Amino acid sequence: MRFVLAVLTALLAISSPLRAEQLPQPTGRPILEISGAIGRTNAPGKAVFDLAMLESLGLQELVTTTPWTEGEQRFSGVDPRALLRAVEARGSELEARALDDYRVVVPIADFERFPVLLATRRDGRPMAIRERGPLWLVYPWATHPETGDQPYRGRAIWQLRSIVVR
Amino acid sequence: MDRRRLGIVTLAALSFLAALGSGALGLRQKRDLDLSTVLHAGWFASRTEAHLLRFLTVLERYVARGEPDRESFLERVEVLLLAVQRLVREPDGARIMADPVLAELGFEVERRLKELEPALALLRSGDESAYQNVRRRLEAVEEPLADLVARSYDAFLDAAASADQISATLRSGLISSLGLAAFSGVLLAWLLAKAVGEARNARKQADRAAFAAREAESSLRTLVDALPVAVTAVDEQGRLLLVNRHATELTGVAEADAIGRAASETGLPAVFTQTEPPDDRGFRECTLEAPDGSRRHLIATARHVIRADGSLARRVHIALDVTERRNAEERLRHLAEHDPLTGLANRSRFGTLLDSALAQPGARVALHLLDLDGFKEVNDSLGHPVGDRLLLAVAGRLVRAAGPGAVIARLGGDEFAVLQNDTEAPEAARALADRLVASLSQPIVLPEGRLRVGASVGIALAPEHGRDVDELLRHADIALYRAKELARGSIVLFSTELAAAQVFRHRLAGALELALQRGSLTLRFQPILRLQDDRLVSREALLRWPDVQSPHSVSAAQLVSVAEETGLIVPLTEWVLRAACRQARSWLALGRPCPVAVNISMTPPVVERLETMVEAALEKTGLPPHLLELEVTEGVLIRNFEQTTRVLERLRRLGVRTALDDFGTGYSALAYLQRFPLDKLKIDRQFTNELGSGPTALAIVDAIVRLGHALGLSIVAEGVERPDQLELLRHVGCDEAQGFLLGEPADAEDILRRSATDPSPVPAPTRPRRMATLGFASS
Repeated sequence: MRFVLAVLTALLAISSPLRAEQLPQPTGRPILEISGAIGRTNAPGKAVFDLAMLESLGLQELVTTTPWTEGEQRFSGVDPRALLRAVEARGSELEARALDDYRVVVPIADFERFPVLLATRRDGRPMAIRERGPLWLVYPWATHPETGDQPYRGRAIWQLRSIVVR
Repeated sequence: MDRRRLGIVTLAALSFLAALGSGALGLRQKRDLDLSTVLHAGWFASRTEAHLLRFLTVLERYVARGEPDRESFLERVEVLLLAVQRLVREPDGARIMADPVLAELGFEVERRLKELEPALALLRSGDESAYQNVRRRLEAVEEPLADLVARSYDAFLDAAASADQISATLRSGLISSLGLAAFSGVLLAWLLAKAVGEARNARKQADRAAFAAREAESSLRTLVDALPVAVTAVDEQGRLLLVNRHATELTGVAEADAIGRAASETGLPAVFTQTEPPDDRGFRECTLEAPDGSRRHLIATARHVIRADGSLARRVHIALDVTERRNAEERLRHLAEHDPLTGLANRSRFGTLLDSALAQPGARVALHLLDLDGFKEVNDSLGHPVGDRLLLAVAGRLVRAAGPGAVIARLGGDEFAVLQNDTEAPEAARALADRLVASLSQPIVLPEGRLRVGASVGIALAPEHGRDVDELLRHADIALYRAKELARGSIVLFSTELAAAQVFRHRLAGALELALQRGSLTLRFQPILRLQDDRLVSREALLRWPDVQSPHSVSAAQLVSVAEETGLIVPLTEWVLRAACRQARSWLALGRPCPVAVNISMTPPVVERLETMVEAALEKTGLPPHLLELEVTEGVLIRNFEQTTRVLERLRRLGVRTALDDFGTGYSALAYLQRFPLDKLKIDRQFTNELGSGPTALAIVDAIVRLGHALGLSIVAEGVERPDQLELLRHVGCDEAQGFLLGEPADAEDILRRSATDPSPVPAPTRPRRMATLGFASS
C-alpha cells in the first residue's frame, strides 16, 4: 500500500505544473490549512486543501469502533504520512486545531506506530461537522485498544481545521 | 536612566508578573487536581454553552454586517449540534445525564435544537429570511442550556472530596500568590520612583534622561495596568501617585482626577488609603461597591517603602478581587450545610439552627419531625430518579406551607424537620403541622403520573419537652413514631405517656428476646371450619405471650412491630414456623391430619429468608408442604411486590399454600390480587362484625366472595361471633369461617384432650391454600 501511495504521490507531483515548488490551488471550499515547517505551499506560508485535493492523495479504509459512538464504523481517508509528504513537512509533531477550538499536539511518530487515518468519509459519504467531520484523525481503536486511552484518545481530533507542523 | 537600571526595572517587572503568574498557576493546578474529576462534567457543559454563546455572536454579526459568510455560520451550528449530542448521548456527558434534573434539561436542549433543523435547511438552501427564525429558536436553546450549566456545577461540586478542604486550598493559594505580588509591587514602585527621580536630577543629560524616564514609566505603566490586581500608591504626605486601570475599574476613580490629591479627597475606598497595618496575616478582607453596583470582595494588603533614614517614602496598596472565588466558597459552604437535592438545610445545619434558637432566653420553640408515608414504595417501584423528583416537589410544598418564619430541613431519606420559633401554645404548633400535612394531601403531578404521598408528624415543644437539641429531637422522634403507628397523616404531640410507651417497647423487646432464648413462647390454635358441612379444614397458629404480669398490655400489633424494629422478627418467625409445623406433624401422626396456618410478617429480612426457613421447618418436622399455609397481609403486596411474589410463588410450587389476610382493610388493589400467587382470601373481621347491622357490610362481603371465586380463590371469614353472621356468610357462599362462635384459640394439649369429641378434619382441599404472619391469641 505504501508503495502505491508513493507512486500516487509521485504521479501527482509530476502532473502538477508547479512541481515541487507549489501545491495546486483548491477549487472547492477549503477544509484544512497546514502551516509551520513545511516545504510546499499554495498560499502565503501555508498549504490549503479542499476535500478533493486531500482525497487525491489516495483513499484508504479503516474499519473500527470508536470510544464515542456505537458499533463498527467504516472510515475512509488519507494516510496522514502521505499528507505530510505532500507538504514536505519537516518536524516531529503536529499542533492540530479543530473547529470547536479544541487543540492538541500529535507526535508524528504516532503514524508510524499505528495505522492512523485522517478520515474524510464514513460509509463512503463525507462526514458532516455534527458527525465529527469534515476531518477526523481516526486511530485504530478496534485493533489497538491502547489508543482508546490517554494520551492517544485526546489526539483523535475531530472537526480538524488546521495543523501547524513543528 | 542607564542600561543597567533599565535591566533592573525589567527584571523587577518580570518578577512581579512571574510572582502573579506562578502563584495563580500553582493555585490553579492544585485546584484542578482536586476538582478535575468532579468538574469535568460541569466544564463539559460550560463548553457547550460557550459554543452556543459564540454562535449567537456570530449570528448577530452576520445579521448586522453580513459577515462571516453563510458557510462559516452554518459551520458553527454544526459544532454546537455535536457538542450537545456529546452532552446528551455520549459517554462524556454521562455524569451529567445521570442526574434526573440535568438530564431533563439536556433533553430539552436537544429537543429545541431539533426544532431548529427546518429553518437551518432553508438557510442552507439560500433563504436569507430564515435567519430571524433561526435566531429566535437559538435563543430558546440558550435558557435551558445556561440552566444546565449552572446546575451541573452545583450538582457536581458537592461530590468533591470535602468542601472545607477545597476552601482551604483556595485560600492558602490565594494568600501566597498575593503575598508575592505585593512584594514585587513594592519593588516595582520603588524602582519606578527612583528611575524617574534620578532622571530628573541628571541635568547634564536632561533630554536623554527625560526620554529614558518616559520610556521607563510608560513600559511600567503598561505593565501595572495589565495586572489583574488593583494597585494604588501614595507618597509620604498621603497624596496619590498611582491608580492603575484595575483600581479605576473597581472604584470608579480615574487616575487623572486623583494624582497629587490627598487620598481621602479622591473618593477612593478606605482599603486604598488606610494607614494602619493590616491584620496579623498581612491581609485585610473587605467588600466594596463597584461603579456598576455589584458588590466585590477584596483581599487587600499595603506595603511601606522606607527611606534609608527610616522615614516613610511611599505606601503601595494592592487589592485582589476575589468575588468569584468567594462566591465559589460560599457555594461550597452552602453545599456543606444544605441538602444537595432540595437545597433545604441538612441535618447538621438544622442542629446548629435549633441549638441557637434554644439558646435564646425564654425561647419557645416547636420542633416538627415529618416522615413521608409511602415514599419507599414510590422509590422501590418507580426508581430513585422519580423518588428524587417527588422529594423536590414535597420540599417545595412544605416550604410554602410552613411560611416565612419557619426553618425547614431535610434530615435524610424522606425525613424532614421544621423549626417553628416563638410558638405561643401547642395549638399554634398543631396548626402548622396541620398545614404541613394538608399541603401533601393533593397528589403530586410528575411526568410519571400523579403520586400520592402523605406525611406523619411528631411534635416536641421547648422548653416543655426538652431544652437541648438532642432531647428535643429524641422526643419529637418518639412522637413521630407514634404518629406512624396510628394512620397516614397523623399528627402527634410528644407527651410523657408516649415516652413511657417507648420505655415499655424497649422492655417488651428485651422480654421477647428472653422468651425466645428460654423457649417460653407457646402457640395456640384456632379452628377454621368449612361452612358447607361445619368440618374442620385447618387451624390458625397464634402466638401466646407468656408474660403473665402484663397480659393485657401487649397487643399483637405491638409485639410484631417491636419484633420488626429490633430484628427479632426473623428468629420469631423461624420459631413460630417450626413450632406450628411440629404440631401439625403430630396431628398427622395421630391420624388426624389438619393443615396449620402461620401468619408471616413480610418485612424485607423475613422475605429474604422465608424460603429457607419454611424448607427447614418442613424438613426438620417432616410435615408435608400441603399441610402448611402462610398468611400475609395486604400491605406487603404493595411493598416489595416483585420479591414477595417470587418467594411465595416458589413456596407454592413446593406445595405450601398462601392466603391473603385482613382483606379489605388495606389497599385492596385488584391488579395485585390478579398477579399474586394466592389460594385464599381472608375477609377482615371488621366486615364480619358489621354483618347483620345493615345492608352495606353484606354487600361488601358478597362482592368479595364473588370476586374471590371468580379468581379461583376460596374465601374465609374472620371473627365470626354470632349465629346470624354465620347464616349470612353461608347465604352469600363464603367457603370457610373462624371466630369465637366456631372455636376459640386453644393450646395443643386441650385440642388433643378434646380430639376424641371433635369432628374429623376433612382432607385438605385441592384449591385453597394459605399464608402467614405472626398471629395472636386475640382472634
